[in-house]
Amino acid sequence: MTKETYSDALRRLEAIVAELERGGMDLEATLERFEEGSKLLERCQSELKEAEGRLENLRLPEAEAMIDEAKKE
Amino acid sequence: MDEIEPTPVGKFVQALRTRLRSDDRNQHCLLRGEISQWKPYASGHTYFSLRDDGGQINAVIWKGRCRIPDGIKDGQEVLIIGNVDLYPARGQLQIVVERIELIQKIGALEQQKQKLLLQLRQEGVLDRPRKSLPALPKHLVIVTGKNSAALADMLQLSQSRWPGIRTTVIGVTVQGDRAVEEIVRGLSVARELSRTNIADSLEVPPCDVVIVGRGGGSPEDLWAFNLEAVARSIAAMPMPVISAVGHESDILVSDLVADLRASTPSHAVECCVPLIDDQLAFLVDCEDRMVLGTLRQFNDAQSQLQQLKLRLQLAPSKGVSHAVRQLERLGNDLHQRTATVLQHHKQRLAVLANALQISHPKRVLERGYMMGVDHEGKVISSVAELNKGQTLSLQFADGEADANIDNIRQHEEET
Repeated sequence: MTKETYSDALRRLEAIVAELERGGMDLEATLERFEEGSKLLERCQSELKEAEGRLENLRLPEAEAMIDEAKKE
Repeated sequence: MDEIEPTPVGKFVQALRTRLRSDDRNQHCLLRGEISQWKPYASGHTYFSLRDDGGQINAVIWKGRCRIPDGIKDGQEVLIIGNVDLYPARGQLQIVVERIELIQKIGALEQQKQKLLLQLRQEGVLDRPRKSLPALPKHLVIVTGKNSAALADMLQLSQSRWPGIRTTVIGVTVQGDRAVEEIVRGLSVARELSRTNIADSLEVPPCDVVIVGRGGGSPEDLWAFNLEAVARSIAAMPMPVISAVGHESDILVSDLVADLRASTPSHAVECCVPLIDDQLAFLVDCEDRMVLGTLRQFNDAQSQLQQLKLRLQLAPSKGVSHAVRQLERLGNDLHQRTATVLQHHKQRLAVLANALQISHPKRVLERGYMMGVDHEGKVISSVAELNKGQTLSLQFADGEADANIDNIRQHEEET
């Protein structure tokens, strides 16, 4: 999996915003950046909102048993 | 008269005992001395004397009342905290021990710590490049004392910052003989959780940040975090590790080898769990700036076209009408694209507004930020929009205030 991390997405988004604010690009490039930026925004927002927030509170032996179980699969 | 009547000795001793125990100066005394006549009894209680050249006093450690350091024996120097008491049956003054620490042991341990640090430095472990924390951790693993107060604090804080964060707690023993082994095993569970295949089979995101630590305690209580096995285990982790042991003033080997040292367990949570409101606000700001930047360029292009068209129309040469039509098409195209951008923006704004309704902007204001608004009610987002002498309204969570602009200082633009 070569999934871009949230940090990477955020960095790219900031670069795009700066570029668009600076201006001076042709319209094709502007539109491309805008679309890329919109996708990044959407991705970042959904990552923030869609996190499930599950909490596993395990004791060490339970945690180790969980890993052993996962390795068997 | 009372004085004529003799007091039974038992009553006298009991009264003396009450007087002794009610004096605060006799409670929680911190004493230093040498152990002599160390005698653990089968009952579980331990008796000894604490002495130095100037005097001595009997002492007792009631069964299970405090942890007795390993290998304690006569002649060793100790620090004790205890309460003065009188044992009525023998009329004997004694210290009831609440805590006992070997002074020499702390000295020896300190030496051991310095030796380890020297070795780690020579090997380059202390100077190795540190891993940076993810902006949005997908899976936080906390290795700490099971059911500890530190854990409760961390969970509460992380929930309030970002309820969406996935967390796995691995509860281990953090002090005593088993601590080192359990902390190391806890860390290796975290390492396993960072493997994609393991994480996939558990249907969780791979662990991408670890907090290892515990709440405050005596130097001996924290000592496991000064030992080699724990230090090496932290240094070898594939993901960033935050060490959070004790209080601000405690600096342990684990703090020095970890990717980040947090002064307390709660501070560790502040370091790695983002404040979700801030993140969302930041994204909204990015969106605004992006849309404005894009539209401005479309506008610029449109006015350029307009000018071109005008000049062509005025030009008398042939074939120009074709060029004008082409330009008109371009103009329409541009118009449509602008409309698309706006449309896109509108939909997304609606979704966002929905998501943010609960949290913005009032909650941002409640945290101590304020919003500046001009006389038309427009939010000021740049000093470029301000004029000297202008009045603007500052909106707080609970009201507003008018302010005059005296000075304007614009930051240099980053490139």
